[in-house]
Amino acid sequence: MEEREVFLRCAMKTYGDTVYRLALCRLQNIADAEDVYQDVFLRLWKQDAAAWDMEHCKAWLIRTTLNRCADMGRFRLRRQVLSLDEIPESRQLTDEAEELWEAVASLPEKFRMVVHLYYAEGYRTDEIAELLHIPAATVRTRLNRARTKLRDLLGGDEDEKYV
Amino acid sequence: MKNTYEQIVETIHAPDNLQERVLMAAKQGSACSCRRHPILRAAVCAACALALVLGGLTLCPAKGETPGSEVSDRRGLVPTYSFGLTACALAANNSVAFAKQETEICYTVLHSDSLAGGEFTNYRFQVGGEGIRSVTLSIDKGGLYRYENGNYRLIGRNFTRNFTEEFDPAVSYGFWVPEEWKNKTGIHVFDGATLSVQAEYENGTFSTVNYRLTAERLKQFGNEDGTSVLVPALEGDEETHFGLYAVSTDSCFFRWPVQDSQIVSLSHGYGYRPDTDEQNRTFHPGIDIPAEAGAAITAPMDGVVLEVGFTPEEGNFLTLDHGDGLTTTYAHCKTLNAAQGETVKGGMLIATVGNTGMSTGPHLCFQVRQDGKAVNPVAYFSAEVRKQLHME
Repeated sequence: MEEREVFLRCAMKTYGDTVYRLALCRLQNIADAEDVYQDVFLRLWKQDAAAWDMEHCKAWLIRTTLNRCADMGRFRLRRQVLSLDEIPESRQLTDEAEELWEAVASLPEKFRMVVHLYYAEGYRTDEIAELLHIPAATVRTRLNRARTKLRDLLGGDEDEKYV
Repeated sequence: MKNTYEQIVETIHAPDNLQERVLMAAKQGSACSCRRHPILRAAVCAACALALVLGGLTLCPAKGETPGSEVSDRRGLVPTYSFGLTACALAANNSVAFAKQETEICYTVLHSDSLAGGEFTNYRFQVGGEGIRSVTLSIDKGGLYRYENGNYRLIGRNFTRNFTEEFDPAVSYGFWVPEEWKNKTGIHVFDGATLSVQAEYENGTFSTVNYRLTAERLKQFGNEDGTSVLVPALEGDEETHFGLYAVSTDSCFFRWPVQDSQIVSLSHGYGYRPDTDEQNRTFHPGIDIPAEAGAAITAPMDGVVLEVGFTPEEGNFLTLDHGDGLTTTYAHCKTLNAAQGETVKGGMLIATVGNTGMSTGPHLCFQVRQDGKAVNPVAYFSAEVRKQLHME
């Protein structure tokens, strides 16, 4: 029990924010993101995952978070965009930053998720493909299409092609 | 070099207390099950944190009233019972999710209990009101569970147990599906059930409301104050969703006010026009019933004529007072056939359909207000009446 608890604490400390941010980006709702966070880490507890290596653990957490978000199936009649004002530390971000967040939040989920995993979590397209169980080419297409929509806001090299 | 998006996301952190809550739940061993429901159900189910509404009205806690007031006195669907059912997750920032599949009302299994063998669905409700000391619940079909902070507990099934506990507004209750129903996948298994809610007040008095549940298509409307409401959808209505709808068994319904027309306007419906941005939103406080000019408008129930008059927007209008803060207004009329102060009976002629005021064609704009607040008129008609209506 002791060891499991230590492992769970460690997992939450290391990956808690990853899970939370992903859920928040996907669901655009703080209460929902908190529900998913609890759900995901309770499932990790039941997995008895102390033997896993950290990369495996992270991948499992990301997949489970996305699954739980999908199961929640929350469907908004008018799509909801979370205002960064609701997050205390994010209030001092610039207007441009708020615009970018909202632009990403307005993307359809499939595009939004690859954007988040690529830009916020730093995964490569082939890694994203493995996480989401979709072809790498699909990931690249989605990123390109998202980028067209977000062109000016994301910054970075415009001619950069996703590899 | 960090990209802008990464910089934004890095300012977001999971709340501090989440870790402790997870650890507590883990150690108590009441963690949610890791069971993944079959793919088919997961694909079609939408999580609906709630769709149980008191007669389609109000999703904020019912305003407190003198405890012990006679419920049987009530006329019409009055949201201000001494206590009420409120919906979870339907305040301004929360959303309601609905079944994607048209033919079935699916629920998501949030939790499975290997002991009881049933499933805890994501259909939940709360009890609201003032001065409540304890709450007693029972249901005659399926079961109920209690939910607090991630803990699920089965509390009753088939009226075999009345569950009573001290009232806690943070607790919510939900619908539990027994083992033998598990193959049926849909929340429609609760159709026709009676949910009984009894409240005990601080002063020792009691009141009980029995709700008849129906599984049907519902539609979400935003209210002016930011809350939203679910009411039964009409034939031809767009963007409808499935849910459980609760009506108290001693509700009294309206008669339909225009005998000659069973049509409700789709393009100019109740509430906010969809797809308009925040600044330009106008709120339409009633439903439009197109009809031939001169068609009879009859009182939906007994009342007293509160006001007759004319304004450039409403044209010839008349307002009836039905008591308990319930009023109805009829606008754009051709003629007004009742005088101020006159008592009218349900079914009596009060006006005729016209085109006066801001109107593009002959129709009745039928408005219902409870304590001055506009409410969706559809909720005040019984299922039999609603089935005859369609939106065009």
